Amino acid sequence: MRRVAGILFLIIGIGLVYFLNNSWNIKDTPLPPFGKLLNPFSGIWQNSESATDFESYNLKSIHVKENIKVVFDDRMVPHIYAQNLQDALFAQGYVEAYHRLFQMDISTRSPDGKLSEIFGENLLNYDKTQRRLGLGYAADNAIKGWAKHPEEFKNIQSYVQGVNHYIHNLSQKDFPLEYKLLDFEPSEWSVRHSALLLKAMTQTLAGYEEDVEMSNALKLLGPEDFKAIYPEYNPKDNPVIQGPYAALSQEMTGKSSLAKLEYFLNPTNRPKSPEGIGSNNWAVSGSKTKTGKPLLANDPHLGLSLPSVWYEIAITTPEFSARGVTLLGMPGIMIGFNQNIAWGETNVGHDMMDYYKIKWANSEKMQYYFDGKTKDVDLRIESIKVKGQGTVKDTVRYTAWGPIVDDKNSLALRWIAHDEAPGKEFMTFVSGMTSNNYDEYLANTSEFYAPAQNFVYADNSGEIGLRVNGSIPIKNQGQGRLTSDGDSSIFGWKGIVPRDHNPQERNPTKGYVTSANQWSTTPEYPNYYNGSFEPFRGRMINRILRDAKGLTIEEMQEMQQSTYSIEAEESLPHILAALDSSMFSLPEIDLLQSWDYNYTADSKAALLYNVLFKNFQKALWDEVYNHMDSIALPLPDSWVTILLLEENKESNYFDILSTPEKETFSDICNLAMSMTLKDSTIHHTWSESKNASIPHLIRLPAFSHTFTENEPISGHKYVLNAMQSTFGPSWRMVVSLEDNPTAYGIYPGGQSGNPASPFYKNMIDKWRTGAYDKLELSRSAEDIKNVLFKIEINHED
Amino acid sequence: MKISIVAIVLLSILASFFLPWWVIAPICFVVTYLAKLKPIQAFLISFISIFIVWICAIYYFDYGSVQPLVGELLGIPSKLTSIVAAVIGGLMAGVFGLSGSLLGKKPKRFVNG
Repeated sequence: MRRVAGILFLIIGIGLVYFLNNSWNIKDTPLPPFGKLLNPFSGIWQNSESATDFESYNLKSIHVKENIKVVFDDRMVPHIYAQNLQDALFAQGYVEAYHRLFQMDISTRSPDGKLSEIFGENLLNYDKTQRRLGLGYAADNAIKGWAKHPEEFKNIQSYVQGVNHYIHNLSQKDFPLEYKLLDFEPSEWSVRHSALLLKAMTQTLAGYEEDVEMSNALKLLGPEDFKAIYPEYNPKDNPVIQGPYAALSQEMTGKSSLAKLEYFLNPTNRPKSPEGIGSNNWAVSGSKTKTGKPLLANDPHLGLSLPSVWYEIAITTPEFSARGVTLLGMPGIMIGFNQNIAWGETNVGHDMMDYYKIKWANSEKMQYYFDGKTKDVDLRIESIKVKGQGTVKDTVRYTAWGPIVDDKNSLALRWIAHDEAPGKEFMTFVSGMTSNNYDEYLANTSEFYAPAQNFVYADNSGEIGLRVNGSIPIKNQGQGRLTSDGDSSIFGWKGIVPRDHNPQERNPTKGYVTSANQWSTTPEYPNYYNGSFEPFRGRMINRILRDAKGLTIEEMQEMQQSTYSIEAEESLPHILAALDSSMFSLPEIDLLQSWDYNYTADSKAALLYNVLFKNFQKALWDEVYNHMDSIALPLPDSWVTILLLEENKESNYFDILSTPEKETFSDICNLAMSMTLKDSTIHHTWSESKNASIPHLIRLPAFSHTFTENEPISGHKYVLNAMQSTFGPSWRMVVSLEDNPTAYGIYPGGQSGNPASPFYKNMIDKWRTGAYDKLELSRSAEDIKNVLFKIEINHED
Repeated sequence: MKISIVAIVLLSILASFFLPWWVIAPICFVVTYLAKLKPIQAFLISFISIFIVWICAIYYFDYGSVQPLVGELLGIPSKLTSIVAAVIGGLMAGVFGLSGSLLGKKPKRFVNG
């Protein structure tokens, strides 16, 4: 009896160990491996970090040539001192993995469609969509091209070796805590992983298209209304480059096409670029600054996350000393400065994603018509491992255009991300940070392929410049704005604009260069392009800089915090003037009338206006809004609304089609105001209405930051401080290009990716209140004053 | 009995640094298998030994930054997190202790009785 009981308890015990050592999914609730996670010797407790208790250490690798010192300052920023570039990049890989390994891992799993391997079936559709989009295929193509430059390729290999040195020497107890929670292990890094990160960035920044929505709108509205509601250029814009432009690079052949729609397309799995992506940058020449030397500012707006998309780093070799932020997983400094120059980027936003309607030649969809012949599709079989379920296979058809992304509508995707870049795009941010003057910088960044960015530049010899940089497809007028026929190559892109024909300017007489995701050029630019362009921030920067003199670093910082809305300035007075004052209570009208058009955190007028203007547009564009429940349609832009207010208050668009009466502009204003006053949410402050937060990468509230009522947040997507609820300025930097550059920067996060570290989100509040950290350059490890710890890396025989 | 406690505490601390976390299971089983303990005693000794080792180790390793995270993850007050963790370890240890004593040498009183 005793023996039986003993064996029974032994079995229960073994079952308990099994349960506690594995993760489970019970009734859709994922359960972590409780024992593995919560035991003190290898579990989550091992991830605890103090603010001061760090030990310095040494390591050796056969991949490094000479001595490398890495010094972590009191904000946990690594300062790398290496004797050559490759060693410096090895150290960069090592420290990025040291602080952000889980982030790097999950950020490559997302484009590669490998999230369901970790999270299970819930993410299978997401993975399938990513694979349909061909991001893994794109990364495979990218590295094929990169490897054709063996000498430079060694640099990225060195970076990869640095990442792997960290991974190989990592014991289970030191795994980032997300691995423990989700119960998986880090895998080896490769150049393909770096390529995947670049492709993920391309998806975020060159993932705009509204081909289907625009095609539907044209079918619904007819050509005349379509042109009026969706014009292509805002005459009030101050484009990035205002001309003169290089001539057309080649004679155009072929033509653009619109696939005739028999029915409205309502696609199932087309990805959408998130709203709110955008950035500001500008450089001001010495003629406009107090010091007589140029100033450069850059603040990229992205989806905010913890850990942050950016990682601060300083790299010094005998040739250069650079500092700024890196895009994790890619070697080099993406936005930063060195002893002589400063650089930064904003998104160009051209449409580089075009859909082609395929005509199938057989019902199995294995052949399609192309240039008068039938052509076979190439099949790419995607094997997706799903946690707890084995492997799911998905076959993706590849056409001459690219993958069939949407089976239902037979839409193939032509996308810049799929190209094998001919040049050394992976070296852009490595060579960029080693440049000493504008000619070098232009040469070093000319092979950057995608996603196209506005590269801003300034240096301490007094030069400033800006180039729309990256590959811009040569298109016929109107091409790619709508879904095209896919049966002939004449509807395709005609190549890539030669880089010296890209819009650019150097030391313009106006004394500044600037970009903020607006149109790259006026319509005089000879190559056709369309895209997603921001209509107000660029104008605001131009407005401030046009007549400015004696500018200082502090004024640049204030500009980055500006909450002034040109959209409100240009729309609200029209609406207020037309309101029937007898219909509405005074406090709301007073509030709006006395508003200074600033989206400050405590403003109630900002929220009231925001709701009012949305309602106004909804009432005005009933031609579109009334169909949006059943048809995928683009939203009319607010600058179009403003042009209508300014130019034609008698327009027929003010009439609401579904009523027998003929409404006027004033009727729409009153209707919008009545709708607004019925909205129960309008009495909050602007900040309260935003519910701002910075989510953790896997959206776990425990690792995220939600701003409380004591942490008010200003900003709006159309003002320079473009903070929305989870999108906003992900890095703010200002550099004064004196003989020794003076620089300031801040991002909403912390250097460590470990939620149990005091350096996980220690910079958020400073960022929120508009403060900056000083960014200094140093030539030797001894220059760093407050050192947390050091790592020394030596060559191993 | 005291020797059993000392043995479980020392062995489990030492072994946990090198071996998987569940090494405490065989340790408790073997110690109680060899020691002549009543089953209830074996359960309690194993439970309490591991409970104490884990609680102490948690406070040793955690600078205070993990408890609030675990609290939020599990939806319990952060002060309870170390106790919950230690109870999990203790329970598992207890079951193996119980089984070890049932299958192992019987205490004298038991043999005579």
